[in-house]
Amino acid sequence: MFEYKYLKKFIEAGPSGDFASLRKALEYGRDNCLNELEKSGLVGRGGAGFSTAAKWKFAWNSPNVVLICNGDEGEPGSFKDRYLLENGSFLLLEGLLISAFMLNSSEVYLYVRDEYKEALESFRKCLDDNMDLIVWYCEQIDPEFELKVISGGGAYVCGDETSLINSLEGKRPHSRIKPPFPAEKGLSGLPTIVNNVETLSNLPLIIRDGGAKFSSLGVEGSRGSKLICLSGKVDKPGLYEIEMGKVTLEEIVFGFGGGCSGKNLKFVIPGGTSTGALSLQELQVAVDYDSLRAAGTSLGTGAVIVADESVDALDVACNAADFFMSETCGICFPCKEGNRQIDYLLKLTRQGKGEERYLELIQDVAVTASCSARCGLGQSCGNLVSSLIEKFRSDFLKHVGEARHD
Amino acid sequence: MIKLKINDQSVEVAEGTSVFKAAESIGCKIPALCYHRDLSVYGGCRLCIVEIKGRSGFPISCATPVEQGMEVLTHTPEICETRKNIFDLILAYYPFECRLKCYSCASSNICELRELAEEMGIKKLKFEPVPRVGKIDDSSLAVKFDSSRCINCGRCVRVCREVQHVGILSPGRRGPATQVTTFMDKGMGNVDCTGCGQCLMVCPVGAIQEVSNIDKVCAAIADPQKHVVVQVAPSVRFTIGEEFGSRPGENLEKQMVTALRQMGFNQIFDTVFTADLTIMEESAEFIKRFTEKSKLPLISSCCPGWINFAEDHLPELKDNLSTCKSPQQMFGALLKSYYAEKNELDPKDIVSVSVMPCTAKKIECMRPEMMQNDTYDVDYVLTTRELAEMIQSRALNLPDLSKSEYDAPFGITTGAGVLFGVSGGVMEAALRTAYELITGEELPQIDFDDVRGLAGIKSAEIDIKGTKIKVAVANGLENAWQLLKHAADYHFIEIMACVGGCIGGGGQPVSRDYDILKKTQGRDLRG
Repeated sequence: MFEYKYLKKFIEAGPSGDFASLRKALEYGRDNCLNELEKSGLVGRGGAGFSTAAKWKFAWNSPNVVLICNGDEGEPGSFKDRYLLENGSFLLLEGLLISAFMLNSSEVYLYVRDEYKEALESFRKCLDDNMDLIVWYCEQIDPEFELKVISGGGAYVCGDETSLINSLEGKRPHSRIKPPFPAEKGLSGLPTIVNNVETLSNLPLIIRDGGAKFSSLGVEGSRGSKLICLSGKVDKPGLYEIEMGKVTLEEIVFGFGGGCSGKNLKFVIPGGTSTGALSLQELQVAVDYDSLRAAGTSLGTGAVIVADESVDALDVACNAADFFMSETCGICFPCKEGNRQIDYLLKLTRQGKGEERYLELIQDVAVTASCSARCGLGQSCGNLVSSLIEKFRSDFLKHVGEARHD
Repeated sequence: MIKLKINDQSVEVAEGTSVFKAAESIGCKIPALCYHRDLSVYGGCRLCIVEIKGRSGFPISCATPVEQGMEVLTHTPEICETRKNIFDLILAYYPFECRLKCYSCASSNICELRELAEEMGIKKLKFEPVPRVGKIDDSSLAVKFDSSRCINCGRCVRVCREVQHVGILSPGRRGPATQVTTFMDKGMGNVDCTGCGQCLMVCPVGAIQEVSNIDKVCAAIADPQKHVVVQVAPSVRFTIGEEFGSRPGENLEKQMVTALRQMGFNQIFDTVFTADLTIMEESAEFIKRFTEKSKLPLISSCCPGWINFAEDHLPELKDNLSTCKSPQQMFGALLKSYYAEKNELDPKDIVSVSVMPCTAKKIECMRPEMMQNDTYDVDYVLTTRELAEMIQSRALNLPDLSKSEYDAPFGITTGAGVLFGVSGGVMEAALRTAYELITGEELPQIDFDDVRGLAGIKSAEIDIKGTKIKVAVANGLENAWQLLKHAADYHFIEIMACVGGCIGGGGQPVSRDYDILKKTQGRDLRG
C-alpha cells in the first residue's frame, strides 16, 4: 500500500528557512500566481470543495481584502489542520504570506480553535523564528501587513465562514445571510476571503512546482493530494496523505488502517460526522469529491471514521444527533428545532420508548434541514443519521418497544 | 426596473426588491414568521423559502433580491412539504397546551402561528412534542416575557435595537438553549428597558405581553369602600374599535364611556383635560426659558418611554426636559387632592385608574415621586387592549353601545389636547398656545403641518411676530437618538418613544395591518 506524500514530504523535511516559494511568488507577480493557482485546480479542503481560484477572483480587484485562514477544525474525526499547524507551521506561514501577497491583503487572520493549545504554540513559535522574514515582507512588499493569530471561541459553527467572521468581530457566532458573500462583504464589511488551513498549505507547493504539476495529481474536479484522518475501529489510525481519486475507501481502511482487528467492518463515515456512512459493500468508491458525491455522501474534511460489527448504529446516531443539537447556532428553525427533534426521537428510541414511525420522522427532518437550513452545518446535520437509518434499520428497530438500561 | 416571473406571472419591481416583496406585490403571500416589514432581514424561520430556476436548494425569499429574468415558484409540493415540516418542528417545541388548541388560548387573536397554520393548510401535527421548561420574566412593571412561548424569531430583539435604539434583548446561551433574554438574565425590569412595549407589538406569538391590571381594577370596582375613577387618554378612542372589528381610526369615545359606566366605574374623565393643562404649563415654561435663554432646547416630558430612555441614555439632557408632569400624572394628582377634597373623599379610598395606549405608563405611575400621602396618584394603568378585553369579557360589543358623555367637571376640554395622540401633536398645541401668550392674538392658521405626520423626524421654523423659533419632533427612539445629536440647534423638541406617537403605542391593539398608522393618522384627531 502506497501513501502518496506531497504535503507530508515537505513537512517531514522540516523548514528550509529560505521560503523559496514566497520569493518565487513575489517574482512572478500576483496575476501569474493566480494563473498557476487556476491551473492547479485546487479546491477548498474545508469540506465544500469550492475552487480556490474562483473564490479569490470575486475579490481579486477589490481593495482592502481581508484574508482569514480557518483553523477552527471542529468536525469530529478531523485532525489534519492540527497536524499542519503543529508540524507544518512554516508551510502554512509561507502559504499565508503568498496568499496575502496575491490578494493584496494587509489584514490576515489565523483563526484556530481554542482547544488546539499546542498548535497555537507551535505556530506562534514559528512566527518568532521567522520574524526576520515577516519584517522583510513588510519592508519590501507591504508596510501595512498584519498577521493576527486568534484563538477561537470554541463553537463548531465557527467552522462556517460567516459564523467565523461574526466571531472575529466579537459577535455571537451565527451564520450570516448570503448574499452578500464574504468575498464581497465580510469582516467589518470588507471583502473577505476565508480558506482552510490545508487549502492554504498547498499554496507554496503550487507556486514551487507550478500549477500543472499539482494538477497532474488526482482526477478531474479533485486535483492534488488530500490529507485523510483515519480513526475509529481500525488497527492503525492516523493521518495519511493520498492522491485523490487514485485510492478507494476500502484501501484506506484496510491498507493504511490495517482493518478492524479481525472483526467484520460495519460501515465507514468518509468525511466526518456531517457526511453519510457507507456500508462494507460500498467501500470500492474512489476517494475524491465527485466519486463520493455520486455514492451519496461527501469527502467532507477527509475524516474517515470506521465502525466494526461491535458498533451499534443507534449509538453512533445518538452521539451525532447530540453533537449537532448542541452545536447549532440557534438561529435558524430547521436546524435548531430539527436537531432537537432528531435528538429527542433517538433518545426515546434508545430508552425503548420509540416507535417505528420515528425513523421516517427523522428522515423527514433531515431532508427538510438539508434544503432549507441557513448554513452548511444545518444542511448537513441529518446526513449521517439518515444514512444509518437507511442502511442499518434493524439496529434502530431492535430498540423499539424494548427498554434499555444504560 | 427588474422583470421576473413568479408562479408564471410576470412581475416588474424596482431593483433591490426582495423576492418576498415582489410576490407580495402581486398578492402572493409567502408564509413567514421572523420577517417583519419594518425590521432588518433575519433569515431564521426559513418558512419563506422558494424555488428559483437554476439555483440549488430553496433560497429564502426575504433575503433574495430579484434578478432580471428570474423564475420563482412559491408553492411547489416540495416547498409546501418543507414548510409544513419546519412549522411542525416549531410547534413540537412549543408549550404542550398549544398544539394549535386556539380555543383555549388568550393570545389566539394575535397569534401568527394560528394564522400560518390556516394559510399553510396544517391539518395535523406529526412530530413529537419535546418537553420544554420556560420561565416567566415578570420583573418589569410594564411587560412580562414568557420564554416558554417564545420561538426566538428575533423580532423583539430587532425592534428594540433598530427602531428604539435600546437593545436590551438579545439571543442568549448557545445551541438548543438559545433564548431571547436580557443581559445576564437580569430580567426586563432590571435593565435599561424603557417599557415602550414595541417588542410585544411585533411578537408573532404573544410571548411578550403587558403586565395585566384587569383583575386588580375589577376587584377595586367590586369593593364598595372604593371610589373608582377612570381617565382615558386621547388616542384610545380612535384605536379601541379595532379590537371590535371597527375601521381603524373610528372614534368610539361615546360608546366607550357607556361601556366604562356599565362596568361600574364611579366617574369617567377625559385625560384631554390635563393634556390641556400640560400644554398651558409647557408653553409657559417654553416662553420663560426662551426669554431667559436658559435650558434650551426645551424637550417635552409627557412620554414616559422617552423619559426612561433619556434617564438611561441621555442623562446630560436632564435639565432640558420639561418639568411638567404628564397628563396622566397631572390628572392623578388632581384626583387625589383637589377632587378628593371637593367630594369629601379620603384619597386612600379613591382608586385612580387610567386607560392609556402605552405600557410605559405602568412604570410611570409607580415612580416614587408620583405619590402623595402614601398613595399613588394613579393606582392602575390599563392599556387600550386591556380595556377592550374587559369590555369583551362583559360580552359587550362596543360599536353597538349607546353613546354617552364623559363626566363633568373634568369633561370640558379645548380640543388642543386631543392632538396629544399623534406625534407632533404636543408641539403643535404648545406652539399655538405660546403664540397666543406671546402675541395676544389667535394664531391665524392653526395647523403646523411641517411638524405633524408620520416621518420619523421633522423640524420647522416658526415665526412668531419676528421671533424665529426652531422646533423639531421625533417619534421612535432611534429617530430621537439621531435628532438629539443636534439638540442644540433647536429651541423646542418633542419626543415620543413609539413610532407614530401614541397611536403606535405599545398598549394599542396589536395590528397586523402594516398601514394601520396611516389609516389612523388620516382621521381628524381633533374630534
